[in-house]
Amino acid sequence: MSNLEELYEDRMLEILATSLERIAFVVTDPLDLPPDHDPDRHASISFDSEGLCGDIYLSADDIFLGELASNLLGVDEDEVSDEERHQALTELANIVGGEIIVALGAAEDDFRLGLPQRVEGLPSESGEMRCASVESDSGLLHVRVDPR
Amino acid sequence: MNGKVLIVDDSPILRRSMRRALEQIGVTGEDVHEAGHGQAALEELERFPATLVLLDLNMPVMNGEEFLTELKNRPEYRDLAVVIVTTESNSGRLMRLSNLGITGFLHKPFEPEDLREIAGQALGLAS
Repeated sequence: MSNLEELYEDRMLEILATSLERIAFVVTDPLDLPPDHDPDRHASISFDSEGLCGDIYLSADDIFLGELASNLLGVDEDEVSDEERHQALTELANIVGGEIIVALGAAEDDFRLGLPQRVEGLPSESGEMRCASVESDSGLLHVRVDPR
Repeated sequence: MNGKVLIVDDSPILRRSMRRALEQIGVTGEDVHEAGHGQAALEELERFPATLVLLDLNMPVMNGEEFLTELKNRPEYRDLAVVIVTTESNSGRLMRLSNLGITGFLHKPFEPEDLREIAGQALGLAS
């Protein structure tokens, strides 16, 4: 099914909720991203297959990443370092990226996932991109899938 | 407890999270070593007699499949248990890995309990 049009927001929200709950017991609710909201950190991971390639971007608030890293490491949030917040987002990009390519057909088609990396900001929006956002008690996480 | 575990994953925070889960089944600090990619893992195995490798696939330098292929070419590691911990979902690729001889798969995202269970089984620990 290597078709971005089939990647619905509901599926992306489900991926975010399930991934966060399984790895770190972070419970989230869907959210419409406020247009003026500018998350603190970003990470990306590329994917490619014969029929489709692109990039997946994750963006989150520091406070959200503090909760995520705290739960992953079993430490208090005030013990989480700046570097650990970045690491939490980068690993989440890897996990969410893996689930998104499954939604695009990776179980049967030959998809390849790149290595996750931190990025300083997001590229300009395109008409074909797919987005979803969630919020936890502490903050906000946004995912965006950009075809190339 | 004689289980010795090598965690091979390029994510430092996930390695620490996995180390934490292993501590909860009695596999403590000195019995757990880490490597950030396959080449580092091969070097670590020369110093650290692991009985179980928890292996990510998508890594820089030497990925998990390359590491596993190299490992299976070395008779001294024939009995080493390998659990693949991965986001990989392609059925053909998973079958190819399975044919290389592995102990199990753990799909990311996983709960700590899932890791404790599969590692405990591989190490022969009572759950």
